[in-house]
Amino acid sequence: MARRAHRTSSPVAWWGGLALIVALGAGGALVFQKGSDPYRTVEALKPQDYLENANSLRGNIYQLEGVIASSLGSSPEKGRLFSLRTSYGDKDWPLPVLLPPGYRDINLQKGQRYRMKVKVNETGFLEIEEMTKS
Amino acid sequence: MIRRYFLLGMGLTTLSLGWSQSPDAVSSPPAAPPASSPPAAQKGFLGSDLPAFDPGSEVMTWDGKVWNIQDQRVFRARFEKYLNAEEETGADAKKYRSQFKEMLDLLSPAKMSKENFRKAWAILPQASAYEPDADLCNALDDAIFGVLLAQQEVTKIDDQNRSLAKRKDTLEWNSRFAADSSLLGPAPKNPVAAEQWNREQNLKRDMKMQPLLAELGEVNASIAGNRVKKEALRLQAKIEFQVLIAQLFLQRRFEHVLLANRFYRALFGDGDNQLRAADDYTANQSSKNKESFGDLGKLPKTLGQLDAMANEAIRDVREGVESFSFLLDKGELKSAAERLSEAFAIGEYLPEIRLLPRVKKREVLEFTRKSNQLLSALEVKDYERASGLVRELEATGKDFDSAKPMAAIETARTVSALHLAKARAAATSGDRNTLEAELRSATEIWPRNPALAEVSGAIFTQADVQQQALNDFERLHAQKNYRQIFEDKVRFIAATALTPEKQEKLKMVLDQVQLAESALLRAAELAKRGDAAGAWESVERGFSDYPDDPKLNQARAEFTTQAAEFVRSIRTAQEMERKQQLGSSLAWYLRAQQDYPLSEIAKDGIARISSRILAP
Repeated sequence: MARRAHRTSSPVAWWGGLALIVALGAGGALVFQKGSDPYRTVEALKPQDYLENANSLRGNIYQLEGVIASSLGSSPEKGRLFSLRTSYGDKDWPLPVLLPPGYRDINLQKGQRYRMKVKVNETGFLEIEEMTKS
Repeated sequence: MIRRYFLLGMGLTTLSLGWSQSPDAVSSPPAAPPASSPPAAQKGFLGSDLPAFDPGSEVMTWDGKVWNIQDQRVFRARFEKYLNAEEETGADAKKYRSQFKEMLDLLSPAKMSKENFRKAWAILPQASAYEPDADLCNALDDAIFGVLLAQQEVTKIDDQNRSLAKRKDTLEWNSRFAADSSLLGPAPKNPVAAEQWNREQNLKRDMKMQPLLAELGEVNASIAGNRVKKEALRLQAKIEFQVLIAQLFLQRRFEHVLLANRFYRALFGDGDNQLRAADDYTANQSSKNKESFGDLGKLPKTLGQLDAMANEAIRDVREGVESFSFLLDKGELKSAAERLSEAFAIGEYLPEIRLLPRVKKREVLEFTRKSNQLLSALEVKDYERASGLVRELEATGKDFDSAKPMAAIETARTVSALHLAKARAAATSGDRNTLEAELRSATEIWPRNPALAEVSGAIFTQADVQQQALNDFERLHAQKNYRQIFEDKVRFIAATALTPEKQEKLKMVLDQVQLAESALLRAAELAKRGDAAGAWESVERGFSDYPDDPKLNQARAEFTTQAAEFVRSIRTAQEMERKQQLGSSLAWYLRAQQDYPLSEIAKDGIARISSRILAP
């Protein structure tokens, strides 16, 4: 029998291939994820900062994600006020968010999860600029 | 004249002191009806001229004026002094009594003579040496001496008149002789010469008789003047002596009256016993003097009457003393004391009274003293003491009649109790005017009523307590120590009952503390269920209404520790709200609500801030 040429697989190659596969998977996942967050360029709000001094954050824009906890009231002029339960760290932080009157057609219900871009308005309230269900 | 008035005045003053200061002092019964006036006060045998004693009402009447002998302080004092005095049985007393008896005996009508008169008169100064005689025998001695001097003067006048009568006879004879001798000798025949001769003879006769007739007139006038002077002297002497007798009678020196009467009869043996002293003094007595000493014109009219009355008084005293001894033996102390006091009032200086053994007198002394104390107690309206004395007197004297004093005592007690009851009611209703009026009435009726002190003390203590409570309330209110006010609320409610303004203030305090108490109770319930946040919130809500309450503070601190996170959220929310950090504040309220969904504070805070945010 003819003697075949002895070919051996290098472990380094094996490990390299595996790493490539993982890297490709992670990159794909990252690409996929970033593609589902429309406000990925907006800084996330740290609830502690807001609770500590909301007025100092006036004019800033943040992104928020949370569950509608309750409706706090509404007025035709100012819109609707909701309590949004957000999670940060290992705690839930309920934050008040104001939905301006221009979003009348959005039907917010308790328990719905939303991702939103908010601006700290002149009165120190989180005023929703954009929002999407998440 | 002045001396006579002085003596009479002294006598009447002594009598007045012995019996009473004033007829107004009659107090038992306070307003004696006319029907109860003593019989002797009516016009009777002696009219109302003489002192009369009515045993029924224990009243002495004289000259229209009335005294209750038991009610007179001076008399009572004298009587007690007498009861304590030793009987006068010493050698001096015996000698005095024997001298007195001897004088009366020597001057008795059967033995009356000049010799006996002198003997009796000689004894008078000796008898006067006895101190209880009060020098009355000396006064009598002086009076006798005065009469004798007057009689000597009368004798001199008589001698003078006798000489004048002889001279008168001589003058009358000489006048007759002169008249007869003038007609001697022959008359001329010639008618003209005869007529001239007759004129000359008549002239001669007139010249001889004129001095004789003038002297005769003078002698006649002297004789007539001496007669008048003699009568005046005799009358003056009689009146002076009678005044002394009247004075002795008024001084109740009845034995001296008898003795003086006998001396009087010996001195004035003319049988004229008319008592002229009264007539003499009546004419001169002023109305002021009458008011003070009575009308002297009402004295007896003869010395015989005075003598009889003195004897009657002596007999009456003797009977009174005998009666006293008998009643004393029977143990009837009240009657015994009364009989003795009556006898003493009349015959204080008589031997029957003076010789009464002290042992006997002392038996009634205690009873009398207590009787006097009872009268004093009734006078000053000390009915408690009077009641005790009545019991003691009942136990001591078999015959003590407690009906009258007890009626007075019980009446006073009842009326006083009624006033006190009204005072209590007025105090309860806060009617201060009625309270004062009723207390005053109760005090007037029975000033030393123990219940009065008790009731008024309680009322005034109540007033003090009330005032103290009001002061405490004001102080605690100023300190905002409402909790202490609440703890002592019963006291303050009672104290402020009469002051609506303070009552309203107290109501606010109590409402506030009541809310705090409710918060604390609710907190305790929630804490039992493990709801520390709810407990804190309950306390916190109470605390906001009443931040100074120590209990709330204590509970608040305790529950703050137990619900630290929730408390922190609420406090931060409130702080942020205060700083106009409405967004942060609302976030903190929401967080607090998340921690304790039932939180009212969080709910209110959320609603409050939300409405501000949403307000147009």
